[in-house]
Amino acid sequence: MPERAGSVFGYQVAFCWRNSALYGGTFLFGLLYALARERKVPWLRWLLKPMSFWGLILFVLPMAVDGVTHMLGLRDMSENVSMDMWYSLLLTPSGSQLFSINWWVRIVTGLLAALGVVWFAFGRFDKVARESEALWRRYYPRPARTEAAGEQPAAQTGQQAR
Amino acid sequence: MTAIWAGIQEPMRVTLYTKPDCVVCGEVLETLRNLAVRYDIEPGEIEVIDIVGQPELEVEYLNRLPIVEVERGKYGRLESPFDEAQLRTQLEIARRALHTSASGASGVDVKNSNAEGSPLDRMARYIGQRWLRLCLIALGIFVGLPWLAPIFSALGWWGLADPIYTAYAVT
Repeated sequence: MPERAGSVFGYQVAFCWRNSALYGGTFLFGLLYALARERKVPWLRWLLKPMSFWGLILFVLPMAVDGVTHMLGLRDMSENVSMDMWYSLLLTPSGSQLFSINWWVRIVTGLLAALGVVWFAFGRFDKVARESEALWRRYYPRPARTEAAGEQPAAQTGQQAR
Repeated sequence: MTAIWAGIQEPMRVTLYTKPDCVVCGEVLETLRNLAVRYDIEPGEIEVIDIVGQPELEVEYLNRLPIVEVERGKYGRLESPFDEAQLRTQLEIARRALHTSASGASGVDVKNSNAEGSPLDRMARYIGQRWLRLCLIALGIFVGLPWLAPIFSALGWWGLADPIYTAYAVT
């Protein structure tokens, strides 16, 4: 929906705000994960230890609730709520325009879900990748690729496996 | 790959060191029996050695049971604690090593058949080593393109903008 997406130079962005938050957030938290892993940034170390499945559910749930309640039409912000209060928070109480409550909820829940996905999945991907690499090195130990491969690759593999 | 497996000759011999009151040892034996067909182990080739009453083995192994050896340790050895996944990995490695060895002995050209793995193996390794970089590049493109579409539109480059709008209409 055009009202749920941003615009640049008067033209609509091809992503809705929720998707921008979700995928953009996955990208950004993925960069943080890379920083934590490659540069060993101490305050990001927590991101390297995978979160539990229930943690992931907890992080994704707000976005799911937001999406479903919108889809069912349960979430039109009440006009009875004091406008002063919303404006004092620099928030627009209804609609989907920029900086409205709905916009903020979409962004925040999307970012939360993105954090959940990165925290849950990336560490696990790394673990699988490490195990695969270890397996590879046991199958094809260096320098078995050329001369040694023709001689006794199996014996080398067996010795490494011990 | 085919050439290597064509050299299958001998079933794998597996040894399990155990003691009478070792519950985990029994579970490992059961697992080994279940995995026997998959890893070319003859059920009769699972040798169970009770270390009790064998002083040398007791001294060496008592606190490390269960211990699993393939071909008397020549093709791998696992000591407690290990899980089924590690056991499967060890058996798979041993099976491949054993069969590769058999292929070599029977004149199969191991060097040319699978010294570095198949192209699919190598591709999987390449992706595995760089998965984070590849993932971030793909995500960056996926997230960036929708924001480029309006810029292309403003520049009048509809040939670039339209496909992006069309592709992202499904998201």
